[in-house]
Amino acid sequence: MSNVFFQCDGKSMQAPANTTVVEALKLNGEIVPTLCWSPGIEPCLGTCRVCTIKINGKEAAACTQTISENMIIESATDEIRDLQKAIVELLFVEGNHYCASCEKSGDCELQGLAYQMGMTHSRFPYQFTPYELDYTGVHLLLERNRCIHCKRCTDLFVDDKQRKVFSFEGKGSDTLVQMNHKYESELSDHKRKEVVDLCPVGAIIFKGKGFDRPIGTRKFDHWGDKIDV
Amino acid sequence: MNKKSVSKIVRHLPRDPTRLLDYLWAIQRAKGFISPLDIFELAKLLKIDESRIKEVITFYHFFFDKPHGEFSIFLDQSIIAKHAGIDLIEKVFEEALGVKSGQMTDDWQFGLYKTSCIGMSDQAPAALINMIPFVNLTTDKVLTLITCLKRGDELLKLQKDLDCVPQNTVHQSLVTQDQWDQDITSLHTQILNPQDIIQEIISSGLRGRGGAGFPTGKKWQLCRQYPGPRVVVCNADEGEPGTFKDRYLLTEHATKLFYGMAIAAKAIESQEAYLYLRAEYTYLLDHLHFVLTKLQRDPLIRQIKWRIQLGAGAYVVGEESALLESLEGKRGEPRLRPPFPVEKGYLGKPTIVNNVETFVLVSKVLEKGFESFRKWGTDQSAGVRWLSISGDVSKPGLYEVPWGIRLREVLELCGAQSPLMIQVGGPSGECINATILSELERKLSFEDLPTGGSFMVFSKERDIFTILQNFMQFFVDESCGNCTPCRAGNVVLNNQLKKVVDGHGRPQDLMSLTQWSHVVMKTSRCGLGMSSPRVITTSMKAFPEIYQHKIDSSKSSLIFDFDEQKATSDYDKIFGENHE
Repeated sequence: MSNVFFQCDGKSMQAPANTTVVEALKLNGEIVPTLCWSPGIEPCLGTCRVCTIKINGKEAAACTQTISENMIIESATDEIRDLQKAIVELLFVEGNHYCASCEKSGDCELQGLAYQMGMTHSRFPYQFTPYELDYTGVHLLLERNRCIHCKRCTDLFVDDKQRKVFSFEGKGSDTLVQMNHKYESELSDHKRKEVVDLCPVGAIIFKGKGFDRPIGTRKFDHWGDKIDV
Repeated sequence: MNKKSVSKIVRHLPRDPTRLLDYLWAIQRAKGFISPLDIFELAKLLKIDESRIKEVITFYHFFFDKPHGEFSIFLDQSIIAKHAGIDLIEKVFEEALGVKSGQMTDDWQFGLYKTSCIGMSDQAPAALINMIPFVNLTTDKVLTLITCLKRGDELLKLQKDLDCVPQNTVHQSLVTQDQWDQDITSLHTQILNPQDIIQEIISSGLRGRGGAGFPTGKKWQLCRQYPGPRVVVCNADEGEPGTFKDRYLLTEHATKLFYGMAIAAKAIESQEAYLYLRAEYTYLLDHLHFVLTKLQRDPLIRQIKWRIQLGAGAYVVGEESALLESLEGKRGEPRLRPPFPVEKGYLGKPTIVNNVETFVLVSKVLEKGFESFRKWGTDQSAGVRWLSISGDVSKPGLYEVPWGIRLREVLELCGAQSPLMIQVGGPSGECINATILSELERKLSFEDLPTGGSFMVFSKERDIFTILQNFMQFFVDESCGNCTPCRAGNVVLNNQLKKVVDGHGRPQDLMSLTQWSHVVMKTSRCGLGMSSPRVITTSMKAFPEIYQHKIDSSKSSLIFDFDEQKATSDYDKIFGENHE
């Protein structure tokens, strides 16, 4: 496939046509923070907006756009970095994220991103909205206090019979993820693991299981080593 | 409660999950609400998951999964209704029924609820009772209404007896109200071919009347580039608070609307046309079906497969891609773009979505020729447009004005009473300070002040912050919840605005209001979040002094400019300590 040429923060870059902007930048060593998106998620969900960058002077989510010839992208500018960080901070005040007691700590993409961005606090006031926890599942626990509404579980996950197990109910800030208890009870071992890994945060976790891996071997344990805080 | 089985209630509907909204309406109409058992039966019937149905029910205002009263009363919460006294009306309802808003009476006869603007701002305060609008409510009318309903009177009869039937008061009409020059059934004979139609529309300079103003002819041409079958969709989901012009056009000019859609269908060579009607206008449904049936004798209309889809109450569905989702029987969440609807729209087919006013104008352009349309308006904004004027004016109602009209002229037309603030284009539009004369010289046009048609005037007696908070609450209520900045950001902005209004703000809080507005505007997924912070940003520009006044008069017990070093300087001097 032919390559297209584009510019990012003044540097000339190229990538195969038809790749998304987020992947095109990654191929050139330019990392855009992502949360609802991760490699292989196609089509993208475009829900979290953490990958907001500027394309030809206009803000857009990098995962939702396809790279094209002569695109001019702004990605690592102070302005864009601040917008991206603001969205992560918004997620922290919307939910109730207590990393210290969370089973996903160290493996959590939201936490990882916050460290990577050097977030020490949120500029927004915390909402302290109580969310109901669904502990009635057989295998899985749905901890809505930690949910970031990315829609990975509702849109991407199906069980072995191709049925959707998770869905959205409500609207606006009252939107909640719901779990189909019948289907959940029938989930196979590997499907359970799949959805727990799919959840970027600690909202869908194994029931009756605490911490998975010792500190030092978790996903993001050594991620921060390279970052100056 | 009605024990009829779901399959019996919905037997007239095709077994098609994209018609889910129709199914849910049918069940709710027959049974009052949609019970878990109904959901179970319907899921089996349509071979879909129950969760797919629950997702939809919980998204829309007017679907209920619990009993909500034999008579469900929805009170209009728009700021115009508030100023017209809807809160008093609510109290009267509450006392007469013995329930609080959001509750149902013990005998399940009445349910009292709140809803966003129902498109009756020229006749506020208003309410929907079992989806039938009751306008110009007074305390006396409410009391009579309840007595009569308890006695078993008919809703429609009461609507008439109490003088609560919506009226369309047209104060000025330039183009639309003209009678057709010739027998409309011969209109199609003069339409030559698709390319000529599109050329005519492009020459007219017609731009979409929804607000964004995309050139209509260009949209159709773009759609034609993609292989068919193609689809025509009319957006009759005007939800912007303060707008009601589509209500009038749907009532009085449905023929022109359907012809406009048929002309569009011919232009993009489509055989499918859909009208998406907002639930608040359910009472117009029969009328629209009647007009459409009457037009069937015209081959131009007959060769198209028509469907009128009733919505279920969600402002965000006015966004075209969300409307398509809803039309497919799903939650009305906006799609990601690209692809745009002209490429992949309804069920993946290339689709044009235009609103009611645009289609009405299409048939006028085709009838009268593009030159006669172009003679109105400005260079970039050709023709005329309808304004829905409400608020503190002596003549609220409908005005067809040429684009380029100055705000001052509009205020004169409608008899504004000592205006302080004008909200042009609804909450998502622009806040104008009407006491600044130069502002009143601004022109309604895509070049200067674009508008989707809502025009609210507020007099000097009104409190601006009450208005702004009503607008922000509206966006919090109507956000679909799909993307982070709109779902969480609007809540944060609303709280921050409240903090300032309540007198707890500091200078830095005003700065953060601006900065946070910027975040939500720049990162949101669709037009709702991109424009909701304009409530704050445009009002800060128009009325900086009211914000400043709140900060100056804030009675905070904390001394923010306390200088610790200065306060302890004596101590430091004596003991020779240095706190650098």
